[in-house]
This record gives sequence, structure tokens and C-alpha cells, in this order.
Amino acid sequence: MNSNTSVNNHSAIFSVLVLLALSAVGITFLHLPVVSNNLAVFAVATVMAGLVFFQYMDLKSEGKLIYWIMIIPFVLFGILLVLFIPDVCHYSIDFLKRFF
Amino acid sequence: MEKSASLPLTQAYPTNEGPCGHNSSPAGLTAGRLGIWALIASEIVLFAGLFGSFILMRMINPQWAEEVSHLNLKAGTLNSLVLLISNFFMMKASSSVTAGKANDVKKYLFLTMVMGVLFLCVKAFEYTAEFAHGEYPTSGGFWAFYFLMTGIHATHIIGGLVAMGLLWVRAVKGTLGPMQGRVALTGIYWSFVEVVWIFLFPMLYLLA
Repeated sequence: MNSNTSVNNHSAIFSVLVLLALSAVGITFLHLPVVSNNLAVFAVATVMAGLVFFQYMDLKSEGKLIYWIMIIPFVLFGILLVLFIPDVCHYSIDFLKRFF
Repeated sequence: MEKSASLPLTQAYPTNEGPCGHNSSPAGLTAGRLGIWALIASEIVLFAGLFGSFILMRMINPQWAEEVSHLNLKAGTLNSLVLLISNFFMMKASSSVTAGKANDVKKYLFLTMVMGVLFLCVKAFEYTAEFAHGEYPTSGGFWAFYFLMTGIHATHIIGGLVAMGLLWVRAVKGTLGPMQGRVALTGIYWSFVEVVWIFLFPMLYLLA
């Protein structure tokens, strides 16, 4: 990719990121139900993070090794969350009721 | 507009990231690139642990919603925009290295640092207001998480500013050439710091 294309691409991504950041704030003023609000806000954040990772950090052009390096912490994060669940359930029956 | 001067060593050192900048791994990655991604992976473990703990603690402490209402949403939104602009300037600096525009590298590195410092100033303003309202890290679980997570993030901002400062000084002296690849590596790190804020901001300020 030549430098002009790269700069234009960065400008476009920047504009999208600003719009998404403002829309995330805007969502909170819609007074949606708690779950919908939180899911929407995190969905916007995930899209923003994906754009930064793949476009700004150029992850899209990295090799398999980098992808493996990046997958490992997310797997560890998943294991961590699973390990937390018994503790959380122990402290709050209400927490269980939200799922069952 | 005056045309930017070319970096003196751009052609001679097309992918140089300093003394370890040669292709040194079987995967054809430079040591610097491999190192920065490994650093980011370890940072993800750190922040994911904090985020996971916070989300689960938030779920079992619905009363934290009251604490959230004491945060300054306008300041948080401003900081999000400041960091987005800062990262955009960093990407421009990185592109300028590729294009061999030495003056633009200096300019955009400086602007990135200015926005980074502005982010810290807004954060300091927020901390001051929170301290004035009697909210300290010892004031409760929410505030302990808030100050810990934003404090660690601010520390990463300071680290990025130091790295950028060193590159900027070299750029001003005209000695960036042998280490120009480090601008892109610093850009990757700076983008990661932005990703952390992209999740930190909604978690602290926007969750219902």
C-alpha cells in the first residue's frame, strides 16, 4: 500500500472511530434496558477495537505467528472468567437468577 | 507549502528498527516487531484480568451504579476523542517515515505527544475533582478498581510519551534514520493503549 493510500485509509478509519465513540456515548442517553444498553456499548467498543487492531496496528498483514501470540492471552482470559464464576455465584444468588 | 525534507537514511535502512532490527526469526519477523506483539500479549493478560474482575464484581454489586454517576462523563468523552486524535497523529508519523518526510515525522510525533499530555491533564483534572468529593482508592470497591485501572492506563500513556519523546529528539537532531522503524513499533504500542481505553471508557462511564 503506498503512503497516500495509507494516509487516506487512516483518515477514513479515524472518522469512523470518532463516530463510533460518540455513538457509544449517545446510546447511554437512549435509556435502553440495562442488558441492551450494556451489550450495545460493548458491541461498539469491540468494533472500535477491531478497527484499531486490524487497520492501525496492521494486524491484517501480520503472519500466523503473531495471531497465535495474540490468541493465547484471550484463551487465558476465557479460563480466568470461568474460574471466577463459582466465586461470584457464591456471593450472589441473584447473579444466578439472571441466567436461569 | 514547503516540501518536507527526506529522511537521510530512509533508503539505506528500509526496515531498520535499531541494533536488533534485522530479520532474526524463522517467521521472517524483525525482533522489534515480534517483541512489541509479545509485549502487547502480556499487556492483554494484565488488562483482561482487571476488566474481567471488574465486570464480575460490577454484576454482583449493582449499587456501584450510584458511584458511576459521580464520574465526569464529559471529561471521559473528551479523553476518548483526545486519544483517538493522538493515535491518528501517530499513524501519520508512521506513514511519514515510510514516505521519507522527516519534517512530518517531527511534526506528527510532537502533536501525538501534545495530545497524550492533554489526556493526562484531563485525567488529572478528573482525579482532582474526585479527591475533592472525598473519593479515594480506599473509598470502596468501585473506586479501588477505578483508580487502579485508570492509573495503570495513565502509566502506559507516560511510557508511550517517553518512547515518543526519545524518537522525537532523534528526529529533531536528524539521527532518527537508523532507528526509524521504531516509530511504527511505538505506533503499534500507542494503538494498543488506545484499545485499552476503548474498553475502559464504556466499562467505567457507560455501563447501565
